[in-house]
Amino acid sequence: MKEIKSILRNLNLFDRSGGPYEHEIEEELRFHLDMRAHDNLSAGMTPEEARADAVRRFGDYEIVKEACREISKEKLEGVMNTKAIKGIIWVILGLGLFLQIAGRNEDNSNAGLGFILIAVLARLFIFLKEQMVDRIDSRTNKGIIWFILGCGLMLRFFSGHHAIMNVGIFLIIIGVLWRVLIFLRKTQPDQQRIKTAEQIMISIPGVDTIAPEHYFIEQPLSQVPPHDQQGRTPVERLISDEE
Amino acid sequence: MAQSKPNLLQGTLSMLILRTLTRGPLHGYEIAQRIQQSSDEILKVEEGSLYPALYRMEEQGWIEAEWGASQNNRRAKYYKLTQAGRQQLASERSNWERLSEAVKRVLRTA
Repeated sequence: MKEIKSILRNLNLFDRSGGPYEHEIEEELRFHLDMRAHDNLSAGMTPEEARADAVRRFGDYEIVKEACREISKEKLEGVMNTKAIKGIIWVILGLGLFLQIAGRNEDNSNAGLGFILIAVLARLFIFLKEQMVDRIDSRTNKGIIWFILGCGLMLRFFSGHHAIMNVGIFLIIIGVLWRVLIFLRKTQPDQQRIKTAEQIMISIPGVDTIAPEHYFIEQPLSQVPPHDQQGRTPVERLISDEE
Repeated sequence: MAQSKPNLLQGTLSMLILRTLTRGPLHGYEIAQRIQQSSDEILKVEEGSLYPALYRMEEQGWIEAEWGASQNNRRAKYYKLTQAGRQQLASERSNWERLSEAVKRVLRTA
């Protein structure tokens, strides 16, 4: 429901102010600037200094806003595509059921069965993509696939009952679909992660710039971030904080 | 050598954000503040760059955003951790600890 609300809000066709996401992004970023300026004022800065410091700390406002806008747009397009595909699946399923139930001859009935099968497999494909492949690590995924394929093959070739053999075929199809999804996921570069990484910029006072891949290898010992009494770096300290 | 800002390893910021959000929903400014405070002012997130990272993490389903009222009664966007985000944090944390341990070993022995 929240997703639908978000889509409707972002699809504001009467918005002529420069983009559907603009208002919320601007409101969020301006809130951040105002909070920083407010804290600066409380720390004793003049209003001008407080504002200037907030802007300086924030970085390039327009670039940040544009980056957020692009990501929001991608997200909305992704949701819309999935919803459109799900809609098409329902239409195919409806058509299949109609032909299966109301079909006047065997050809119609078989065509209906085919449509139903396509719709079920397509829906299963989306389900696996959404629920399983992205959430389980690769080794577990592969283990489950081999298990399903093994069960499917056993049922298919060692069972005398037609219905059980069909279940076996169904399991084999699931296993193959699952494997295809993992393959597709691996062959596509994880663009989202790369983009996120590009925007990472954490400053550690007194440490020189080192390219990320060389950060630990080439950095002189004297430049390693300060450790606390237990010998933990700031990042280690943060992730183990309050445990 | 020219002085400029260093980068941390890829994925570190998302791990820090996820870890910070385990304490409950926070808006972007609070997240930046918490990271800075928890690291005794040593880690300073460049504030603008936090937002594309938050949006990307939301897109990936690791966090959810909802508008609410801030302490000063202004509308603010609050982010909270999802189940997928917890799993991602566990995974990133495990990677970080393995890497960190390996680096410590090299530093001790090299």
